[in-house]
Amino acid sequence: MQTIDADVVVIGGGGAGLRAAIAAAEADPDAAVALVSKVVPTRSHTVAAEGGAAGVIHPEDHPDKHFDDTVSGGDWLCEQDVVEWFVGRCTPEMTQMEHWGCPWSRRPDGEINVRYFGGMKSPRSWFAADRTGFHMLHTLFQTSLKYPSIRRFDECFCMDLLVEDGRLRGVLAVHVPSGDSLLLRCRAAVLATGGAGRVYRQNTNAGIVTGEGMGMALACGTGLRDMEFVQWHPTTLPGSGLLITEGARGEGGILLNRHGRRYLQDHGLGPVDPWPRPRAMELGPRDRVSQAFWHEDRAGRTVPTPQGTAVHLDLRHLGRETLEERLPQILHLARTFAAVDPVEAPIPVRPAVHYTMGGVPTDRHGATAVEGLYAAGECASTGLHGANRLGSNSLAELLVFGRAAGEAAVAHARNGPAPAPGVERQAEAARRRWHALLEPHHGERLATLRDAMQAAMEEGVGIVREAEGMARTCETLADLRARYRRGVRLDDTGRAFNTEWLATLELGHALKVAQAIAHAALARRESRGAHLRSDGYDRRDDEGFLCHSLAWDQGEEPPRIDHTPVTLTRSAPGERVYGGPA
Amino acid sequence: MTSTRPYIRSMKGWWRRHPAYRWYLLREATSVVIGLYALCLLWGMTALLLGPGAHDVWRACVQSLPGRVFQLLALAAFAWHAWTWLRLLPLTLAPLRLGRHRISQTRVHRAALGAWALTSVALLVAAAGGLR
Amino acid sequence: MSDTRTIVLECLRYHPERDEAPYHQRFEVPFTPEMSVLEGLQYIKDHLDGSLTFRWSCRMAVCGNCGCMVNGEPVLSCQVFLRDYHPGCVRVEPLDHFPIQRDLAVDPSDFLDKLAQVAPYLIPDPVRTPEDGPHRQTPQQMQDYLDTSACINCLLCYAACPQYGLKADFLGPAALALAHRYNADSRDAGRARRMEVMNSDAGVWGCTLVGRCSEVCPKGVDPAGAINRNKPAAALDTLRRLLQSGRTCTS
Ligand SMILES: Cc1cc2nc3c(=O)[nH]c(=O)nc-3n(C[C@H](O)[C@H](O)[C@H](O)COP(=O)(O)OP(=O)(O)OC[C@H]3O[C@@H](n4cnc5c(N)ncnc54)[C@H](O)[C@@H]3O)c2cc1C
Ligand code: SF4
Ligand code: FES
Repeated sequence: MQTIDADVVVIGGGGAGLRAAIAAAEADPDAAVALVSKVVPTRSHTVAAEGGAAGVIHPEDHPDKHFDDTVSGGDWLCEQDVVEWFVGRCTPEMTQMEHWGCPWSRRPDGEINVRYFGGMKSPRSWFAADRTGFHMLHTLFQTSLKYPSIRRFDECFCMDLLVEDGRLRGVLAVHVPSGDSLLLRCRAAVLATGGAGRVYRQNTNAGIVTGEGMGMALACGTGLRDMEFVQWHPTTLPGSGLLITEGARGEGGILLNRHGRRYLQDHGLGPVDPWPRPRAMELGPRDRVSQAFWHEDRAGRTVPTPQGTAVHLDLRHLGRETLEERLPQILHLARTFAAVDPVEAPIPVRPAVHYTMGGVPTDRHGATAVEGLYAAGECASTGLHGANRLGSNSLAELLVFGRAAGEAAVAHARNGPAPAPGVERQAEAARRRWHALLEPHHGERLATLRDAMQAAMEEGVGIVREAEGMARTCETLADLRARYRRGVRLDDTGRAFNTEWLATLELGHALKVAQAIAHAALARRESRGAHLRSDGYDRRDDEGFLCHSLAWDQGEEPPRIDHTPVTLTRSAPGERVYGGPA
Repeated sequence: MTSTRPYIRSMKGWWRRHPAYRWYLLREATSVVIGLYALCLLWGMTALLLGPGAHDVWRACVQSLPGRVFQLLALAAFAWHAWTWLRLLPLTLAPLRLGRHRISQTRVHRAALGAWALTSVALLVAAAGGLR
Repeated sequence: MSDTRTIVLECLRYHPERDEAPYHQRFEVPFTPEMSVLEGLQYIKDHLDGSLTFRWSCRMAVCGNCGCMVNGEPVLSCQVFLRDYHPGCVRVEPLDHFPIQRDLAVDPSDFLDKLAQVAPYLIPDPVRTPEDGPHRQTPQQMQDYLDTSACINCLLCYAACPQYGLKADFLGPAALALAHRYNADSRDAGRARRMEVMNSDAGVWGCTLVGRCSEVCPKGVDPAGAINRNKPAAALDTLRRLLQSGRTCTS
C-alpha cells in the first residue's frame, strides 16, 4: 500500500470539491492539498447542471428576498442563520467565477444577465446558456491547474474514512486503473462526493451519484440529516430521466395535460394570468409542480408514452431563435434522446428523482461531528435547503460552502494536533475488509440487488407516501442488506479497473443511505416540502415536526432516527403561498 | 501507482483505418506532382536562356505523349489540391460575420472556389492574348 | 416490449493482468429503439459479463467520459443508438491512439498533462477582486470564444488525429483549442505566455490539417480551426523573435 502525506484531502472533484481545493490552496499555499476523485474531475456530476446559480444582482432583487424565497421554499426547515450567511456570499462567489473566466450569459450591454427559476420573487439565476454546471465545472477545473500545491489523484476511489476517537486520521483509496491501494494520511479532509439520487431508478443523476460518500460518513459517526427530503424534478424525459432544465420554464415554457390545459392552475399555482409572473404556475417550486403531476396522473389526465405517462412541456411559442440562443442543449437533448424537435412539438416530460436535500450534517464552515472531517456540496446538509431546495441554490452552495470548507479544513490542518501514529494498521484492516468483497463465488448478481433497491425506493418512498408502503420498503431494504451480506457474486475478480467490485462497494453504502431515507420518511408523520403523505398526515405539523431528522448508523441493523430542533432567526413558519393574483 | 500494464497499439498502416486519412494523404501527395511540375517549368525557362536548340528539346518533351500525360496529371493534382485547400481555408480564418450572423464554412469555401475559378479564367485569357 | 430485437456487440477485450494482446468478444444483446450503444454495454455488464470494463457517467453527452470507437468512428457511446447499426454488428473498441488500460478504457493522462501545459485559465491584467464587480463583455465578444469553450474533453478528436498517434509530444486538438479559447477571450492577457507552447513543433506546427478532429467533435468546437487560426500569429511571433535576436546580435 502506497502512503502519502497531505495536509488536506479533498474527496470529490465536482464543483464543491474543486472550490474547496482552490480555497485551501489560496488560503495556505504551503499546504499540501490532495484532490481525490473516482472520475477525472470534469466527469463529475456538476457538469450536467443546466439552468443556473443564484446570486442577487438584479436591481429589483435583494438578499432579503433571496432569504425569504429560500426559507419559504424550504418549508421553514432551513437553518435560518446559515441561509442569512449564504445569501450574502453568493454574488461575490459568482463574480469570482466570472474573474476565473466562467462565460456567464450577458445582456446586450455586456452586463451579467439573470433569469427566473421556480419559487423566486426576482430573477436571480446567473446562467451560462443552458450549460451552467458544465461551464462552472470546467472553469473551476482549469483554474485549479494554476495551483501547484493541489495534487490530483484522478480515478482514485475512496473506500473508507479512517477515524479514531472521533478524529479523522486518513483516507483509504484505491487507484482504479491499477487496483493499488493508497493511504492518504491527513489531519483534515473535505467530503464533496455529491448526492445519492441513484438509489432510485428514474433519476436525472449521472451514474457516479451513488451516495457512498454519505454512507462512509454515516458509518464513521456523523449521522445523516433530513434524508427523507428527496427532490423530484418535474420535467425529465420519460424512461431515461434526462433533465429538461427549469430554465426552460424560466424562459416561458408551459406545462399542458392531455387535454391541452395548463393544469397547474388546478393545483394551487394559478390563476394563469398575468403570465409570466414569479412564483406562480410553471414558476412554482419543484415539490408543488411534481406533486401536481402525481394528481393529474391519478386522474388519468396524462399522456401515455412507451416509457410511461407524461405531460407536455411546450416551448414552441418561444421561437427557433430564442431556443437556439438560450436553450441549445435542451434542443439537442430533446432531438437526440426523445426524437422531438421542441421548435415544432411539445416535449413529453415527467418527474424523476433529482436531488438529495439531506446529507452529512455540518455547520456553515462545513465542520461535521467528526473532528477534521468537513463536508460540502450535495453530500452535506448545511441546513440551507430545508424540506425543498430552490433551483439554482445548489450550484451557489457548491461555491459558498465549498470555499468555506476548504478554508476551514486548511486552518484545522495547520493548527490541529499532529497526526497520530498507527493509522497504517487501521488502513490495512479496512483494505482487507473491502477486498473480501472480491472473494465470494456464490450469491446474487449485483444488478439484481441494485434493481430491487431502486424498485423498492420508487414504490414506497416516492413523490407521495403512506405508512404501509414506506414500512414495506424498509423491510425490503433490510432483506436486501441481508442478501448483500450473504455475498454478491462477481464475474470480475481481478484488481485492475475492476468496476464491478467498486459498484458492489457503492451498493453496500447505497443500501444504508436508502434505509436512512426510508426510515426518516416513515418517522415524519406530517407533510412538508418534498415529503408529502397521503395517509392522514397531509398537512404540515409545526407542533410535532418543525425539526430535522437525524439517522444514526446501527451497524447491521436499520438506522435509528432522532429529531433535532431547527434554528429560526427572523422568519416564523407561515403559509407557503404560490400563485394567487400578481 | 505502478502495476498497470497498458497496451499500446501500433500506428502501422494507419492510413488504412479511415478513408479520410487516404484523402488526406492524396492531398499531401499532390504537392509532389506540383513540385515536379514546377521543376519542369524551371527547366523550360533555363532552356529558353540556353538558346533555341535547348528550348526545342524541352518543347518536344512536353508535347510528347508522356509529357502530355504528365501535364494532365499535374492539372488534376492542381485541381484537387486547390479544392481541398480552399475547403480548409475557412479553418484558418477568424469566423466571418455578416451583422449578427456567422457566414458558414461552406459559403466561404464556395466563395473561395469562385474566386479561384475567376482568377484562373482571367489568367488563361491573358495568356491566350499574350500568345497571339 | 414488443419492438425488442437482437444485435451483436463485438467488444475489444484486454485485461492487463492476464492478456498479452487484445482480442474481440461477441455478445448478443436484446435492444429497443431508444437504446444507445452505452445502454447495450450496460446490458452486457449487468446480465452477461460483469467484467466488461468501460467508462460512462452522465448519459447525456456532456461529461465526455464514454468516448469509444464504434465501427471505426470515434463517438460518444451514449449518443449513438443501436437501432442505427441494426441488422449489422456493432464493433466497440477503445479510442484510437491512447494506451488501453483495460477493455474499452484508455489512459487519458497524457491529455490532462498537456492541457495543464497550455495555461488553460484566465490570466487577467489588471487582476480584479470580487469588489470590483464582473468584467463587461458583450455577447458579440463572447462569440469569439464560446465555441471553443464548449469542449467536454471527450478526446474523440485525439482518436481522429493521426498526427497525435504518430507524434507523441503533439499537444493535440483539444488542448490547443482550449489555449485558443483563453487567447480569444477579451478578459485575458495571457497570449504571450501561451505562445511559447503553441509556437512549437508540439504546438500548432504539429498540425498538418488532416481536419478530421473538427468532423468528429460532438460539440462543434472546431479544433482544427482553432489551431490554424493561430498559425499566422505563431509565424509572426517567430519572425519577431528572429528580428529581436538579430538586433541583439548586431548591437
Ligand atoms: C441534471 C441536473 C441538473 C442540475 N441543474 C442545476 C441547476 O441548474 N442549478 C443548481 O443550482 N443545481 C442544479 N443541479 C444540482 C447540482 O448540479 C448538484 O447538486 C451539484 O452539482 C453537486 O455537486 P457536488 O460537487 O456536490 O458533487 P458532484 O458534482 O456530483 O461531484 C461528486 C464528486 O465526488 C467524487 N466522488 C464520489 N464518490 C467518490 C468516492 N467514493 N471516491 C472518490 N471520489 C468520489 C466524484 O468523482 C465527483 O468528482 C442539477 C443536478 C442535476 C442532476
Ligand atoms: S474538441 Fe471536441 S472532440 Fe475534442 S475533446 Fe473537445 S469536445 Fe471532444
Ligand atoms: S456518458 Fe457522459 S458523455 Fe456519454
